[in-house]
Amino acid sequence: MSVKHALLSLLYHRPCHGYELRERFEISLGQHWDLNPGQIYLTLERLEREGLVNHEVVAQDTGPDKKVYRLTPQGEQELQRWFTHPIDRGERLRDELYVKLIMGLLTSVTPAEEIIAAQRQGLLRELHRVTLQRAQCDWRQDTPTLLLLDSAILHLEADLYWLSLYETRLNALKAHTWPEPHPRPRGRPPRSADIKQGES
Amino acid sequence: MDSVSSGIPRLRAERLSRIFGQGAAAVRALTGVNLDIQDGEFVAVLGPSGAGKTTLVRLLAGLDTPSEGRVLLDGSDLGRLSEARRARFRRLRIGLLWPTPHLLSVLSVEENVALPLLLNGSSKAEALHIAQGALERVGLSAHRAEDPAHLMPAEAQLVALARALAVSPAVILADEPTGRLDTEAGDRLLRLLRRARDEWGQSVLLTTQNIRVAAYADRIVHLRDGVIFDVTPFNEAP
Repeated sequence: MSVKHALLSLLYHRPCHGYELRERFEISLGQHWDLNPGQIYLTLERLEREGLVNHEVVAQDTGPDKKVYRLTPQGEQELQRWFTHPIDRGERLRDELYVKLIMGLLTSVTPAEEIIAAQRQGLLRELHRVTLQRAQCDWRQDTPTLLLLDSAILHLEADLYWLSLYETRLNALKAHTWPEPHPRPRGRPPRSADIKQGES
Repeated sequence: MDSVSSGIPRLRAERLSRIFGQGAAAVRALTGVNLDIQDGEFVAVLGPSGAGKTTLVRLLAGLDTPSEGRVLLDGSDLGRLSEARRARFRRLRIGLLWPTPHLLSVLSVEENVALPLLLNGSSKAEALHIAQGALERVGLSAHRAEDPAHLMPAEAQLVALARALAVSPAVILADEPTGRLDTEAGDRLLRLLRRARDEWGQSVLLTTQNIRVAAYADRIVHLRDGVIFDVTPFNEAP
């Protein structure tokens, strides 16, 4: 999740201070993110170092001074770039579940069937929890939450179906021979001069 | 009998098997199924087509006789009841829901919902009054005087649910009730089944091929080739 870009977006319309930013973050993205105040301030500091936001200190009649953050022109550019470029889902090919299942086969620490069963139970529990949350959601009032929960449900469903595929192909996977890595060549690679000398 | 105070499960399947045909042509649809549904519990039976889901529902409803094992509803063995008593027991204690609503087009929507109550001996006025309440629960009271043939498929299935709810059954048995509905209509029906469990005191058993549908339940029973091969309990069970 890009906290960075969410904060840049929230600063787009008007400057605001850290606490207000956190409140606006919760209002727009719901209570589902486990985002602590420290994370917001750390991200703001980083954005400032990158030149995407700056701040001015505003004195308060009561209480300590406030840092009010605003977007810089570079920040606006970065936001524009983020919105117009597709999200890179390359990490899907480094999926942890896949890594766990393949390494499970290679190590045989735990039988593959047990790994599958544990994963399935975990995914089903999560699906159950999100499904009931969705069932309690007011469909006419809370479209953003509904959309977020639908996304979670579809991903969980995909993981569960994929797990079934893995189970179906388990025997083929067990029979799969993994090629041995190439032995590492010793010494330095030959220089072109050496080759020429050898030829003469 | 109140199954909570007595500790007896609402519905119990004991070593339930069903074999169709004989000899070499015999097909085992269900083998040694043990299943308890507690009072106020929502159980989903998840399995692919041909897993034995409909066979299980028919046996649990007393619409079919097991080859081996028995079905107990509130402690009463359905196999020991006469056909007539079993039918009456079913009409009073079990609400049934199928993939299609099976509404009678010669009756209005509310008359369809009132029909099981009339068969159970209620007066027409009383039956219609209860039917209206059931239609209200599923959000279809505006359609009560309509010809069911004019309803959308999703609405017709909700009328079937109202018909099942009208008798205030101990158990609702729903065989792939969302199988022919789109996702939104299916969700609407499932939310009502959840309310039946949460607010109206019914136990629910639902069969489905769809994980997403099964996730509404308190417990998923995985059925394949007529055998329960896994159970996923959630923490919502009473």
